[in-house]
Amino acid sequence: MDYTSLALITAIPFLVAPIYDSIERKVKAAIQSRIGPLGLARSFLQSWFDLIKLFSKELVLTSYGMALITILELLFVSITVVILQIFLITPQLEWVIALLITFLSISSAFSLIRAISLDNPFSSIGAFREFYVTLAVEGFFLSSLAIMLLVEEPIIIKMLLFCIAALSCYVLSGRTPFDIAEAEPEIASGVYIELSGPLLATTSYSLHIRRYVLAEILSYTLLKLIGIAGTGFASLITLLLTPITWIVLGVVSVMLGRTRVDVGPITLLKVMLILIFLMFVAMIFVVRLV
Amino acid sequence: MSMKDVVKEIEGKVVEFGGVVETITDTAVFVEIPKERVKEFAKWLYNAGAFLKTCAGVDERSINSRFAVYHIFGLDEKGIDVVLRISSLEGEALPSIASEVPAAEWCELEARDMLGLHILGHESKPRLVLPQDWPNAVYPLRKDVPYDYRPPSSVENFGKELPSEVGLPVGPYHPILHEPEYFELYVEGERVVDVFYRGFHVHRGIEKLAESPRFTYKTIPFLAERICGICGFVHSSCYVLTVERAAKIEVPERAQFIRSIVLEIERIHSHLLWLGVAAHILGYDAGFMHIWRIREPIMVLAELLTGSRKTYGINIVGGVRRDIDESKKKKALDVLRNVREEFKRFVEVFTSVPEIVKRATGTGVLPKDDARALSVVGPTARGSGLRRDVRKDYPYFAYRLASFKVPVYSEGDNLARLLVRVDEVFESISIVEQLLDALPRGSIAVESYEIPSFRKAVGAVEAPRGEDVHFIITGHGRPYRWRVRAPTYQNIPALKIMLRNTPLADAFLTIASIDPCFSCTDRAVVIRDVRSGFRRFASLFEGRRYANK
Repeated sequence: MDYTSLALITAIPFLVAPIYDSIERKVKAAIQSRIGPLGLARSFLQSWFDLIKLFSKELVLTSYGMALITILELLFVSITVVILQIFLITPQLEWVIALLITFLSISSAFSLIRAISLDNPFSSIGAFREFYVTLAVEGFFLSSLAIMLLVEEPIIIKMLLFCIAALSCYVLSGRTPFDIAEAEPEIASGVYIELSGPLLATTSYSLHIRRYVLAEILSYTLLKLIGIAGTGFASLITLLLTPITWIVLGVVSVMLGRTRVDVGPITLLKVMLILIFLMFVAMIFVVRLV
Repeated sequence: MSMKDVVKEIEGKVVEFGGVVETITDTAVFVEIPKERVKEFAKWLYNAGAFLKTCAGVDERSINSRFAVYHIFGLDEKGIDVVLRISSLEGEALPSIASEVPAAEWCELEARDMLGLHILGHESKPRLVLPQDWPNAVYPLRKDVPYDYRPPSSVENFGKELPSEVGLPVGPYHPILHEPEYFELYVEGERVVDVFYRGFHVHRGIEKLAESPRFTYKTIPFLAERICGICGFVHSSCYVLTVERAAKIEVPERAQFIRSIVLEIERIHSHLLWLGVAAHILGYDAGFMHIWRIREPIMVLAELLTGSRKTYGINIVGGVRRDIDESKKKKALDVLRNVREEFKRFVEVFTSVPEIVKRATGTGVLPKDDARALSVVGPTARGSGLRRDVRKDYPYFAYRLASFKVPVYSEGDNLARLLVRVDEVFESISIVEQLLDALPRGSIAVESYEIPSFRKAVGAVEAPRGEDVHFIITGHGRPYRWRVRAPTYQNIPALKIMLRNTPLADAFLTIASIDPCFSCTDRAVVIRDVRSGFRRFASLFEGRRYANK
């Protein structure tokens, strides 16, 4: 693959993530009996317009540390998406998988650090909520992803691993019912309360990229599940499947209400443990058969 | 027990407590009790099943050189009000009945703030209604204080009354509060353990304004309708009902029907609006959007019947200003049929969303005993097992001719209050259909009327949020005293109980569950154009626009 194609593939997420978000907003609006972003251009580019507008606003800093963390969060999530695109081109390189999982974990940590670093009671509550949700799924997600990408397993185990990955991707994308860290009506946008203008734009852009990463991982694992991953054609399918996965996740969120911190994370943990238990049972069953 | 027996029993007790019965009307008994024995009499009334509706402080110095407090009790089961008057000379102390009837706390504090009454037991309590920078010894509801008096502001008093412990601030501006109020939630982890409340940020002195030469009996309905942006018709209806009772005006039956129809339409749109807000709070925005879509035809129907989507302006003393013809009747019935079907489908989906049911069940619990002690009203009371509904207990307008159920749930939680409102939408649709079908022929307003001075009357109308109470002492051309008690005023004190031990996430649903209307509770601003000197009253938001200019 030449350098131009490589540059194009790695640039795709940075360009299309806000576009996918605009489409999600238009689809959600249709389900909710609203019009949503008006006109053809805005249906695809509204989130880009929002980001540009926010970037043009006055910069208000409540602390320099927060600005630094916000920029680092974007940096690490950007590195993650670049590695993901490299992995898509060269899925056979195991060190890329290791790097991807490491950077997924680091970018997630930065998102938590940004939330905790804000000196505001609403933000603190949001940060702890985000912490609980992340704690309930992150470990399961990364380990199931590693197993799925590195090891060839029987279909039953693949299916269980895919369930864990799918659920985790949904939860970590911060959609309803797991958007408790921002919960606008309750804690006045929680982890975003102190952010405005360019900083809010940076954080929103990070979130778009993060959602892209999760949607693409979910699309790839789906192909892996049906056994067509690992080829150039599969990579193309993954890229085409990503916006559909993104929209499906968005549509699911429209049908649900927001959970509570003492309900959602615990329920998630229970579901994850059940899935892990089933996987062990399946493994024992498979080993016995062999 | 017949009405006569009830009145006789009250008369006997009044004599026993050394008091006198002043007046007996079809709907109320007005009594005067020596202030030394008012606590005992209030206790007897409370134990006899009476709810405290409100109390009203009155500056009667121009009549009898005294200040008076009127405690308004309602015997719901008997359908009669008992208005208990106590009075004192300026500077003399008056006893509080709050120890016997907890619901009296707020109205007594308001009488203290607004009239400077010395009410025993309330001396050291912070101001309830007046702002912290209001000067001492200026009592706005005293007759010698001009209605447009505006004291200079002094910022140093701000913040003095706030508790030293810092909690989680909710307000005065918060996404969940669509009007300015201040709650401070004290939390352990994510569980609320206590709450501090400061309200009346937008008190607009509307009672005082109505007593001013700018208003007359005929124009006050339009002022009353501006008390609230959602249930304004309730206030104008309650005002005209009270004046008509005081002046014994016989309102044509057709006008009574039209008032009831419009009141129910207001209830439907208010409940649909609330359900949308509740869905939004619970993060279910699809529900929020769809219920507001279902609500829209009701707003169009209101415009068809009254000429306006809101602030209808059709109530006048002695009747209404706008009739309903056959074509409107037919269209109204079509709209209601469609709304009922759509709402039925919506409720099926809404009540099957797991997060909605989970978060509303068992949260914001108000036990029946507390609901009784605080005399809470409306869906808040009915969600806690109290069968209180003015339309049934004290039938007014055309409600005695309509058949409907009063939905009651005993759980006392957020879900119970939600379900009360859902059931009430169906009942209200049915009431409007019945009344439209039975709409009698005839005139829609009396030709003429006279309103004698110094007559007293109490009126109550069931608003979407509960019982709205107006008390009037008639005067020359305008009320001598007009007291407005909005339902939210009665329900806010219950929030302290409801919020305790509630998960923080559901605290906001709990606050919303009483459907608080702070503009009703706080109550139009008089705007004076400095160039022309022209004055007029305006809504809060219009006032803000002027302020920004």
